[in-house]
Amino acid sequence: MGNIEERNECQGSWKEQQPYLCWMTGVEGVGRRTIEKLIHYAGSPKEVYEMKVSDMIEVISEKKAKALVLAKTKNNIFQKYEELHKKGICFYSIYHPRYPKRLKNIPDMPYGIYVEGELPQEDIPSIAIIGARQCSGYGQLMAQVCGRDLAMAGMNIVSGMARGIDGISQKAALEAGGKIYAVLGCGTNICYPSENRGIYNGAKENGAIISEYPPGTPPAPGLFPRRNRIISGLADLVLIIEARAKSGTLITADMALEQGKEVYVLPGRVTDPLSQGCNRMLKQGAGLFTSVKELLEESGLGIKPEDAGKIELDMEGTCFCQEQERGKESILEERVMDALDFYPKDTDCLMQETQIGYRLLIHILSKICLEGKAERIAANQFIKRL
Amino acid sequence: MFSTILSAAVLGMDIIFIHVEVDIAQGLPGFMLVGYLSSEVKEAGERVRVALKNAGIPLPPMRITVNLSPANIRKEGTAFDLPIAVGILKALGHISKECTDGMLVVGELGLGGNINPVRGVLPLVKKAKEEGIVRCLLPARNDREGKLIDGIEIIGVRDLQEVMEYLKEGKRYTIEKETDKRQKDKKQKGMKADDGRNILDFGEIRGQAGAKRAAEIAAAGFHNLLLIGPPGSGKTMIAKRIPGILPPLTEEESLEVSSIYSIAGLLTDDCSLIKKRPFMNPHHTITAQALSGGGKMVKPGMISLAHKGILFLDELPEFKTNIVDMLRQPLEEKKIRIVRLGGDYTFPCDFMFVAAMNPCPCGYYPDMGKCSCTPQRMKRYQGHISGPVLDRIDLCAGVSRITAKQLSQGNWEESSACIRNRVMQARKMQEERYAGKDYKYNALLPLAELKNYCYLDKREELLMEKAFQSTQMSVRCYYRVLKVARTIADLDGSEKVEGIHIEEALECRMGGEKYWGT
Repeated sequence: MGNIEERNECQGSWKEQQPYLCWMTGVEGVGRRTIEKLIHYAGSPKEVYEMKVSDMIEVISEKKAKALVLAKTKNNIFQKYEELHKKGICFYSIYHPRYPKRLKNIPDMPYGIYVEGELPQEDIPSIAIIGARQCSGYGQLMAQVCGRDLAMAGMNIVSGMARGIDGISQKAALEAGGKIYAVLGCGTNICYPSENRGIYNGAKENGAIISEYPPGTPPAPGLFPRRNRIISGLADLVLIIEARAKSGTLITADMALEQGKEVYVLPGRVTDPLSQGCNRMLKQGAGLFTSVKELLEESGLGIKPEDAGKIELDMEGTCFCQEQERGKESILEERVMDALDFYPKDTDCLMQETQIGYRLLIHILSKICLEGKAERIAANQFIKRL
Repeated sequence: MFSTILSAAVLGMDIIFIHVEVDIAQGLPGFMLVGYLSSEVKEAGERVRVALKNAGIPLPPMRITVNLSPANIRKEGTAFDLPIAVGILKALGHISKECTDGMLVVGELGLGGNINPVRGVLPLVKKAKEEGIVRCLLPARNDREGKLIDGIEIIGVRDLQEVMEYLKEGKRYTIEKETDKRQKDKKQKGMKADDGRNILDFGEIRGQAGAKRAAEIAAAGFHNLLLIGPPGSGKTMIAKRIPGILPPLTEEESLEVSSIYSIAGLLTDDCSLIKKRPFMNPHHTITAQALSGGGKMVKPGMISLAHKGILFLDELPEFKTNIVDMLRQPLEEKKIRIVRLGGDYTFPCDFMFVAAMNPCPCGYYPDMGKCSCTPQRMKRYQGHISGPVLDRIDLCAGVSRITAKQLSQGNWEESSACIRNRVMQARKMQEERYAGKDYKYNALLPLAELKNYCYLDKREELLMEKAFQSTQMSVRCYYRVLKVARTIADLDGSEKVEGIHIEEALECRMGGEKYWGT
C-alpha cells in the first residue's frame, strides 16, 4: 500500500502517537470530547495510555475509564494497529501529516479516520452530492447527470453511498471515470447498504471508503448523522438534489453551513414533497443549482467548464440537441415526448394529453424507450430520460 | 328373501357403481348395515326404518342385513338411503323383481318418507348412460340436473309413496306439472343470471386502456394475468369483467363444469347447468384445503370450481406464501391430485389465474410524492410472491388511478361484447393452428414449438434483441413476451408476429425493472 510506505518515510512524533489514538478512538462509548479531555490532562496520547483508571477518573467517568483500560489490557494495541494495515486499512490521526486539511477546518473533527483506498488529493476540488434515500425519478435523473458531469469535469465526488441520491450520483461518477469518496456510518470493512457493493468496490479502486468508526462497527442509526459532518467536511461544495421538509439531508446542509461550505440546492416543484426541503433552503438563501456549467462557473473552484470540452455539461445544450433530432422524427413522437415528464406518467394520462390511441402510443413509446429518451419504470408508468 | 339394487358413489370426480344387497331372514330382529361405511351411511338404517313406517310399510320383525358391495371401498354420503329402502321393498315382495332391472337408484330419505336431493347427480347419470343403464330413479329436486344428459330415462320422485306407485304400476308422479310451473316462474327470475350473458360490462370502466387491453390479450390466449395498481384504481372491477369477454362455455365444457359443481353440491334446483364461466375470488384468509380441495369427504376446492373460468386472488401478497405456492402444480398440469387416507382423487382445474396487488405496501409507488415505503418494505411485500408463481404469469398490467376529469368525460368505452368478438376470433385462429395438438391456447404453447409458431423476421429479431439488452430481461421473460406477442398477432388476425405485436407484448411484460428485476 502506497500510504503505508509514505507513512514510514515520514518522521516525527506523530508516528508513535498513531497506535494510541487508534486505541482510544476504537473504544465504544469514548467520544471526541473524552479524548480531548484526556489528552489535555495528560499531555499526549502516549501519556494517556500510561494512565491508570484512578488517574483517569479525575477527568472522565469511571465507566469510560474502565472501558479504555479494558481495551488496552485485552489486546495488544500495537499488534492490533499493525493488523489493521495488513488488511489494507489505513488509520490517519489528526497528528498524521496526510490527515485531510479540509477536515481540520471543521468543528468537532474526528481524532482519527480509517481509510480503505487513497485519501483525496488536497488540490483537487471536491463536491458532496447528497439527497433523499427514497427519491423521485427526477431526483434519480439529476443525481445521475450531476454525478457524471461533475466527475467528468474532474471533481471528486464525496457522498455517503446510501440508497437513493448518494448511491446514484457516486455510481454515475464511477462510470464516468471519476474518483469517489464514500463516508460510511459503519466500519470500512462493512458494505452498507449491501446492494451498493459495486460502488463500494469501485470506491476502493478509484477513491476511498472512509469512516471514523473502527473496522467491524455495524451500522447503527445513531452513527449516520455524525458521519454527515465528514461528508460535508471533505467537500468544498455541497449539492443537495432532493430532500423532504424533515430530512437527514438538511442536517448535513446545516453542518456544511456551519463549516463554512457553500451549499447548492436543486429546485423542484412546490407541490413535490421531495422538493420541499430543497425549496425551503433556497428561500433561506442557499445557492440555486441550474446547471453543472453554471455551478462550476459560480463556485470559483478553478475548473473551467470548457476544460471538460466534449461532455455535455449543460442541460440546455442537451435539450437543444434533442430538439434538433426531434425535428427529423415524426410529429407524433414529438407530441409524446412533450407529454412525457420527469415524473412518472401512465398511459391513460399520455393518451389524454396526446390524443393518440393506446396501440399507437405503445408503438411510439417503445421506440422512444429503446432510444433511451424515456424509460418504463413500472407497469404502465413512463418517465422522461436525458 | 334377497334383492339387489344398483346405486353409485361419488369418489372425487369418479363414479363407482355400488350394489346394495338386502337380505331379510328369520332370526333375532335387527337392522344390520355392512360394507365399509362412514357414519352417515350407517345412520341410513334408522332413516330407512322410520321413513318406511311413516310411508305405511312397517318392517316385519325379521333380521335385515344390508351390504354395500364392493365392500372394500369406503362409502360416504346420504345417497344410499333410497336404494336401501327400495331393496327392502323388493326383498319384502312389495314390488316385483323385474321392476328395478337396468335402473340406478340414488336419494336421501327424510323421516316422513320424503326424498331429499343428493350431490353428484350429473356425473352419476352421465356415467350411468355410458355404462348402458336405461333408467335412473332420482330425488325430484335432482330431476332437472339428471335430464341434462340425453338418452337415459330420468324418474324424479318426491316421496316413498311415489316410488311405490311408479315401481308397482309404472305410474309417473303427478306433481310434475306443478313443479314445472314453479320452476318456470323461477326460471324467469333466477335463471337469467346464469344464461351466459353478463351483467358486468367493460363499458363501465373509464380509462385504463392498458389494463383493459391486457385483459383482452389474457382472455384471447388464456394467459395468466397480474394487475398492479394503487388501491381503488379498479383492479377488482377489471378482473370481475374478464369472464364476460371469454368465449361462452361450449356444451361439453358446460357439462364438465356443472359436474364439478354437482359434486361440490353447489347446483341449485333452479340452475342445474352452469353456462357462465366461473369466477372465483376467495378471500386471502382461505386455507390450503379450501383452495385445492380436500376435507374428510373430499370435495373439489376453489381451483376446481374455477375450472374453465377464472381464479382471482385479490391482494395477492396478503395470501400466505404456501397457499399461493400451492398453485404451481395445478397451473402447470391443469388438474389436481389429492391423496388422502381414504383414497386418491383427481379434480380438473383448468383455470385462468388472475391476481391483483398494490405496487408497494402503501400502494402509491412510483408516485414518490405519496409513497413512503422503504426499499426493504417493498422487497418484503413483493417477496410474498415466489418466483415460480410469477413465472407462470405471462401478463402484467399496470392499473393507474384515473383523474376526476377522465371520470366526468363521457368518453365512449368499448363494451364487453365488442372485446369478446375479437377474443373469439383469436381463439378460433389458435384452435385452427393447434388442431390435433394437445394444447389449445398460446399460453400452453411449449417452448420447443415456440419457434415454429412465433417465427420472427430479421427486423423483429433485432427489436427483441434490443429490448432484451436494454431491459435486462431474463430468458424466461423473453419467451413469455414471444408467447404474448403471438396472441396479440392472433387478435389482429395476423399469421406472422410483427414488430408492433412485440412492442405491445413488451409493454405487458412482468413489471418494470423495479418489480422483481423482470
